[in-house]
Amino acid sequence: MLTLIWLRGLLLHRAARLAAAAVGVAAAVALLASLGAFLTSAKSTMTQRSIDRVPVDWQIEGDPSIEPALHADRRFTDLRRVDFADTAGLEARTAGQTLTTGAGQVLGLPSGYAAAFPGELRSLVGGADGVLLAQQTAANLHAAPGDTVKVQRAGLPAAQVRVDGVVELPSADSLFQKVGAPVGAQPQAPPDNVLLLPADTWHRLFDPVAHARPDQVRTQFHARLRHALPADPAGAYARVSGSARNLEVRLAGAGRVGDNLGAALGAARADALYAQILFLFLGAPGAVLAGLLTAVITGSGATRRRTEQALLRTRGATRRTLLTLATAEAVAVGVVGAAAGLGIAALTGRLAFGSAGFGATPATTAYWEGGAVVAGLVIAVLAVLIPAARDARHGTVASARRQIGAARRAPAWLRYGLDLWLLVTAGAVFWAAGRNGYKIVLVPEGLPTISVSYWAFAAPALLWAGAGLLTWRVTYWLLGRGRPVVARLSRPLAGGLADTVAATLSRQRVLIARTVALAALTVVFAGTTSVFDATYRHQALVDAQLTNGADVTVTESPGAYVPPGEARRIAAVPGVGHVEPLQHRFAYVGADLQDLYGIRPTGFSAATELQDAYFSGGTARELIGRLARRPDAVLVSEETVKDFQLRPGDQLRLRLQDGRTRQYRTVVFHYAGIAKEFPTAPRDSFLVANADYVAAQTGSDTVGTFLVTASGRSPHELAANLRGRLGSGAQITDLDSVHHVVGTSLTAVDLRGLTTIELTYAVALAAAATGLLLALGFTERRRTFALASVLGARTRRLGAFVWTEVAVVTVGAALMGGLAAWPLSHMLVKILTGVFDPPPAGLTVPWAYLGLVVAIGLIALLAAGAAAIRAVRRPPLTVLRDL
Amino acid sequence: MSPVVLEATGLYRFYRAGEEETAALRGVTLRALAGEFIGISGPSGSGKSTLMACLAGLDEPDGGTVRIEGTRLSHRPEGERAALRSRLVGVMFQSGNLIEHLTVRRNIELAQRLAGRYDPAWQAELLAELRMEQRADSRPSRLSGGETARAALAVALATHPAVVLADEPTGELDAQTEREVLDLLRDQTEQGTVVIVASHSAAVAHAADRTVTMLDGEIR
Amino acid sequence: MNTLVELQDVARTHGSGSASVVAVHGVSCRLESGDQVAVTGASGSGKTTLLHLIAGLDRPTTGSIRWPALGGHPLSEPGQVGLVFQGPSLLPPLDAADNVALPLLLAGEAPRPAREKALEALASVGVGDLAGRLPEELSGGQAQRVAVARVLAASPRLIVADEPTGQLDSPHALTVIDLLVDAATDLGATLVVATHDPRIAGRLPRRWAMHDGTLREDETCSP
Repeated sequence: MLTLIWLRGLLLHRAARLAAAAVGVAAAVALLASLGAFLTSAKSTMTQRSIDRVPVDWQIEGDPSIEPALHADRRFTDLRRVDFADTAGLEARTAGQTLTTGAGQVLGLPSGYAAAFPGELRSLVGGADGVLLAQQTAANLHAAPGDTVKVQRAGLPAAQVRVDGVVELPSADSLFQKVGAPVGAQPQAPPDNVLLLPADTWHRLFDPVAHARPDQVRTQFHARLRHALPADPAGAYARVSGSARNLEVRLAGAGRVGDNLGAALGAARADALYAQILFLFLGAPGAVLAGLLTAVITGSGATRRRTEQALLRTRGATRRTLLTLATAEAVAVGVVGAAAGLGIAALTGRLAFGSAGFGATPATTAYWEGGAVVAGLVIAVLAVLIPAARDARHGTVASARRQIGAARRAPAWLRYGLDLWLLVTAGAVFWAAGRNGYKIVLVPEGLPTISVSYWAFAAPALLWAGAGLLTWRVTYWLLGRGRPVVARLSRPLAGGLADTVAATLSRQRVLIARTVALAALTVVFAGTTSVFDATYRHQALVDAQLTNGADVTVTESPGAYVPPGEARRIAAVPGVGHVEPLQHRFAYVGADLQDLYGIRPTGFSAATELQDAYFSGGTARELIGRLARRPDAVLVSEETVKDFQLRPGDQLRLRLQDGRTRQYRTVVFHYAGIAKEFPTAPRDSFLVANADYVAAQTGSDTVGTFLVTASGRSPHELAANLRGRLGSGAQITDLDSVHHVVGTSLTAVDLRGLTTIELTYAVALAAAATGLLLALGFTERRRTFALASVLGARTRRLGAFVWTEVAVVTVGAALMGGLAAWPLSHMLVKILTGVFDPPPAGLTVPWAYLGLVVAIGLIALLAAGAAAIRAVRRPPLTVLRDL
Repeated sequence: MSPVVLEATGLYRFYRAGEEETAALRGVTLRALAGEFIGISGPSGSGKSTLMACLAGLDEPDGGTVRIEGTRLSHRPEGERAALRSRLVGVMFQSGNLIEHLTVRRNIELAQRLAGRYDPAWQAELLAELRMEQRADSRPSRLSGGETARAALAVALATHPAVVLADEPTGELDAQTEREVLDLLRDQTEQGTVVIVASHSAAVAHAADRTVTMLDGEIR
Repeated sequence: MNTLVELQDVARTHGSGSASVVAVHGVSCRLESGDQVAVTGASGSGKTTLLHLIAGLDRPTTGSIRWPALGGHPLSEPGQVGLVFQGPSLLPPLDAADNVALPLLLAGEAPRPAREKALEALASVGVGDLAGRLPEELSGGQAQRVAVARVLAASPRLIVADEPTGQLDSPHALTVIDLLVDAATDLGATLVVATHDPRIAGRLPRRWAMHDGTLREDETCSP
């Protein structure tokens, strides 16, 4: 009853103050709830993307006799038998010459396979059914639909088939995987030559082989699972891999499962963990800031609270009563704030994603909302209850009453140098994490679980906290010891009152230092979040560019002769900026067939961005420069350097196909450097050389790919344009589409939602931290201003007090915030380096956004200043009467 | 002979400020009989307020004891003191006697509930006696100086205390209002309540049964 | 003698509608340069409102106020009016000397001479040794002396003091009021003091009594 009376009074007559505190709680709750909902929806997107990306969920290899059992298994929605046979080589006769290949594999596909598992085959030329050649094999044989190819069979005469089409096998790695290979085994390279046959043709050709040489053939069943999986990749992974093991056990050794879906989900769960880390790292400071703001708001009522406490104790209230009342207040603030926060979160979701739950399921949304509400209540309790409990500690009422309005002295942490310790520890932890290669997501080999090394986060967290406290110290020191300097600097604003203004600021330095520190922390939050986000987005773009090559890539059909002059025809299409021809050939490095890219070193970087991280042993500019200086220079992969023990300048003999004779001949190159990644290049080994040299040596200047930059048009539009103009001969891909398809890492998840939330909150917090705190400070000094006004100070003179303080807060927050944001952004990008693919060469700074934050912070400051001056202009005696 | 209601013997209280130690009370002994109205006068810093705080159990004397109706109030844990205080003592300060966000009526109710003896009948009687019925549902900030003083008195009397301690209760009041408040305090003594008022006002000395003067922490 | 302030049929109502309170009504009076007046009356009688009106801090609801000797309005130029309040009136962040110097600085005086005058004024009211103390380090009597020094330093034409001794005990109260009277005499300034204490009122040569918002000259109350 006592509590109810108290609470009712507070709600009726202190609503404004409670609401102000609730706003802080609401901000934290809203931030956490919307980030959490976003995180869950991002995770479910990752699961969905993994499922979509895998063309065949399971490849079950074993005895053909298991087929009835598999067909009876209810977990599959689609199951098809695929037969594999080895061949010693293929042979084709074109234009009067015979071309042969090395060993390869011949697959027997059931009818409708391409439709059932669309990701496995991509038709390039001719039909998608019938006898099909893999792209590289077709190039080797110079075969086209209608040609006849001879297939070598072990122990039997070669058989002849007529080619119906050429296909690409985008998932060759998983298609030709060694099913049942032990964990951690070297992945098996897909065969160089592949021929796909209809099932009946395969059986006609290879059943006799199977009979005589069973080691030459094997049978797989390709399956699609029911995709009723948990939304979280980790859960989905556990379910799928568990199910795979279960099947193997049931097959009792007659079959093994190649768990492609499990592998994809396994990779996704690491990404999901990274997303969680991002959430934690970007969201936590926002929530902490909101909490600090709440504490400051409630702290501004400290004098009132102490007076009330003293009075209640005079009337016989025990400490427990005081704490009960404070708890009631905290809960009221927490509940109101949490409710408002959830409302804001729902609104944010609706605005940013079109649905209140960010596309997450109701259950997970509720889970996150519950967590956010708990966090909000914790903030309310910390901000309201803790100070009350501290005040209630006094042994007697008399000493509590004496405490009212007690002088403020430097806080203990300042005297013990806590800020400096935090910074030193941050440096040490960062250094230690660096020695560990910034590995924060740990995937222990052979274990189904993965974990996060959260302690690496201590470094940025400590740096952030240390920077805030250091800002406090610097401001405190500057306003104390540096008072003459402040007086001199404030002279332009304050004139003859400069010393008085400096003295006022000096006395208020605890308050001002707090404001500057919080404002600086907000600047740091906004700065690091936006820099991290911009860098992340830039890298996602770079990743897409690496995959696609450029804004738009025109890939000519294999075998077609396309001279560099074609570039002019492409350049004539509206919206095209720069066109860069890129030769694509195959070259034998020893027995290994690798992709070879011929470039024009001078113009290449105009079409696509080459990052230093793509190369090793020099910057991108240096290595491309080496190519430019030496015509026969070649950049090779790290494996090649290792395999051939290459040193710079060493000769490297490659076998390339001659454009005139179609025969492979040896061309001499010189090793000039290492290329780890290259636009359009595969992830494994490849070569980069001068296009002119390759053309001269092979007698053919045919271009495989044109890299096109868009100008004034989106890549997607330009690609459509080009498709219209160039016809269907060439394959045209654009950055926008690729951006959505590349799914190797977090880049697949559109972080735009996450950033929209965070950046919006950063702006709101910046406005609150600067404007609100300053306004609170001015309110506390209303009496000072009123008295000064009564003493004859005109608005302009009072403005000197207000604007000097505004200037101190602005300059302090911007300077210290900027100074701290820079190293923190670096640290964050370094620590979260695993998120980036490829790792960034430098930070990308979103100046426009930062400008917006600064502008809004300034507007808030100016508004607070103007409000203070307007309040001063009220007839002073109304203020004096209020006091 | 009326019984002794309040008995303070040999009260000492020291304050430490840095290296200096000042004695606010040096062996003060005071005894009040039922129904007695005692004035305490003396210049600022003479120890009036410290004595009042010790008598009310708001401060803990370094030496000596305070007993009210035979119950020892001093040298107890704060929790016990608070419970005793809520029942035995009504306190009135110069200002800040009311919780700002509660109405006069709620302020009285709060004091009663803190003592664990909610008594609506007595509350109504108090409001009538102190002519506060019209203002019972107003918040303290809406009251005039005299009304504020009467409301503060109502809260001090809310729990039928044995002793009412008032520290400068009339410092901000004009002479007429001061007289009125003192008359109301005087009325309380008729039921045997002890009233002790610390003030440098001449009117208090005039209204009191007897006045003790404090100087440098001692009763002169 | 020239007229410093003249009120004609002045009324001031606080608030509006049914909640309005008439603080002052039908007041006409005049103060000449060098007048020293005590305004007495019960609390709520309108003393404070009258003082605010005289000092130009408040405006009348009806009637008119003129300040012929003060350039039309007391706040038209800084430093014309000196104010002393009942409660603490020192600016909390400034030390005693800075508090005293502030009106001078606001009036455009250079910092150095302003400070010298401030120290002089503090010494003249007997608190020269407290120049470096902050208001929170001063006792009530000391703070009120500093407030008086602040008035003296600015050499105002009009000194308005609202219950300047309300929180002081008698000996301190009388000292402070004597300092004010002496200062006003030295400066030739007009002094208006509101008080409910007849002893304080007795220190001033003229007395006005406020009752329910109306004013009457009260010469009956002798010192």
